[in-house]
Amino acid sequence: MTAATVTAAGRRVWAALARPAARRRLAVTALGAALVLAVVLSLGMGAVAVPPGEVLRILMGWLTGDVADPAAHRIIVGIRLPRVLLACLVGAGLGAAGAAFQGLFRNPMADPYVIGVSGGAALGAALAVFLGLQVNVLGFGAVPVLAFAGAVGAALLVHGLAGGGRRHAMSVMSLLLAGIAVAALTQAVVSLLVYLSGERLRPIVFWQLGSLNGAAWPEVALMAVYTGAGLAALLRLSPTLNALLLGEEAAHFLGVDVGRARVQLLFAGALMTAAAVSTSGVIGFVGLIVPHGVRLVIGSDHRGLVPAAALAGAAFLVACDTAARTLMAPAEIPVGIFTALAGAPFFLYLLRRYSRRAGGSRL
Amino acid sequence: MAVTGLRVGYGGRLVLDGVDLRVGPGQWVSILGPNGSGKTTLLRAVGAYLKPVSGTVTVDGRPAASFGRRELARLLAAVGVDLPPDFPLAVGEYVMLGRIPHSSGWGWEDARDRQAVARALEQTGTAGLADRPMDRLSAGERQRAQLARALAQEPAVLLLDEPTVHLDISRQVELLDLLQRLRSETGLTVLAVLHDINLAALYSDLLVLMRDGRPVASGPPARVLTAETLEAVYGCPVVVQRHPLRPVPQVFVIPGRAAGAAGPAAETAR
Repeated sequence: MTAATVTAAGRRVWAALARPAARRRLAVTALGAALVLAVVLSLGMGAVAVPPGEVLRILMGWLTGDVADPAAHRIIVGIRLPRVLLACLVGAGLGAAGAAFQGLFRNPMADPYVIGVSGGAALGAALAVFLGLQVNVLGFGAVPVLAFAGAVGAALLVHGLAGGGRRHAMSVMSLLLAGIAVAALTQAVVSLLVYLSGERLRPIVFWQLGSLNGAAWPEVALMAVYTGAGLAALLRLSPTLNALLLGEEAAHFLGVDVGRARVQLLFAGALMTAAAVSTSGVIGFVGLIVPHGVRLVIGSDHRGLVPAAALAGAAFLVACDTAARTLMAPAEIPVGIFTALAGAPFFLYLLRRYSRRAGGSRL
Repeated sequence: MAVTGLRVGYGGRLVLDGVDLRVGPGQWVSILGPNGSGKTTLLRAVGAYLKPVSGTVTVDGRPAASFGRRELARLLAAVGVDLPPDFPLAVGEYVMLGRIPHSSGWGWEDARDRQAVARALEQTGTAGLADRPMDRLSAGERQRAQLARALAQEPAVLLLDEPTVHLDISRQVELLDLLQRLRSETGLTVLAVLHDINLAALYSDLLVLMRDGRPVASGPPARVLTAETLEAVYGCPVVVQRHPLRPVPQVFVIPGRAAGAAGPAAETAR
């Protein structure tokens, strides 16, 4: 082999090694752009239609303190913006938490909804309302605090029931069965609470369906704190998630403290799920479909997967919520129904397309 | 690297009961023994994946327990501990995982990481596979990719758990030759659990023959591989003869003369 071919081969390897990082950057940039587009389009849609250019002008005016048209300003910034931002934050949280749970459980079926974490959070929130609890932990009231406790409890329960902590990956079946059992249990208890309380707990029904109706700035602020903290933690844990792809023993030999990593990931994921559930109820399938779709496109490296799933989840939920509030206006469809309706066919499309291109099943 | 008086148990049952082992820098030591004799457990205890009930493991003169996890992972790398890849990952990305113990903060790779990976790919002859998804590799290619991932950790010691399993003989020899070459080029220390007694004899400086969690015999192949010792450990009669081309003993089984159920037939079937 001559020196020239060695360098040519070396260059090829170098290029091949740089490619995944470039692909991750491209995907994150493209998804960021898609999210901005979705937000601007969504803000313009509704009973009063506002063209995108006008939306941008109003947003700029809001940021610079220059309100030209008070009526349009009130609709865009006062009514629609908090809801759209909440959709972004909830979608980002569910998407990233789904990616983390799938990595942690080494299982593509794991998602906050499927594994019962959302149900646990809903139960916590319902209990807080039912008992009329008044707590204050770091400025957060009873509902988010109990939602978090419920989410962590459900995650630990499912983890334990499905045989976590043993050396091998949890089987899809045991995970799903444990998740279904915990979800059914939490739902039954929530239903019981609703039944016992009569009219007083009517709002709890909304947790079970999932809706972004009633979004306001305090919820947005709460979500921004929770989701921001959770996302930062997950980004930090991305190399650990990558190591866990190879199993617990291999992760140990890559220098990962597996027990500690599992607890950290469970808490970060539960934190984001609890925040989402306490502000907008149980919105299913975002955490399942979004990371799955993103993984099929950019691969399994969590350094790209986590941020991409957050951005894609945000854009996806903004789109679903826009459809939910405009398609049958003035009536509103619960957005959880929409995420399932829109997500499943999209997922099937991705599955078909990529398994054909790659020449077989990758799942 | 040294192991003294090591006892390891799972749930009250001792799997290793007093193991002493010394591996010099740059040596190749292979662990042999019937199924359930504690070979893999020994490897796990050496890598601090299992906590010993008593006894110590020292690496580089320091107790393994005193190392930080990441520090230890920069010193010891393991092959054969991966679960099958269920998630889409290209070979280049997979080998890059070997840089995790060297990364810090958010885990972004730099030129040094890419250099280490490129070198590991080249050493194992997997450079041409860098773009290939892991689940599209043959068994031999996957073993070499695993080795590349371990080499990307730039370890001083390589722990191998049955690296030749599922490979045909030419791939077995290819992989072991590769390890032999790496060892002479880079001074890598190798501690391997091997199934094939004859291959272990051809490649190892020292053999450790285990039974019921204890080393029964250890030393150079010519000393360990005697018919009496092997019959005692495996419970089946064997003939030991010199390899026709190398001054190394080779072991032959005799058909129809397995003494117990746990004979070599069960051993190779695993």
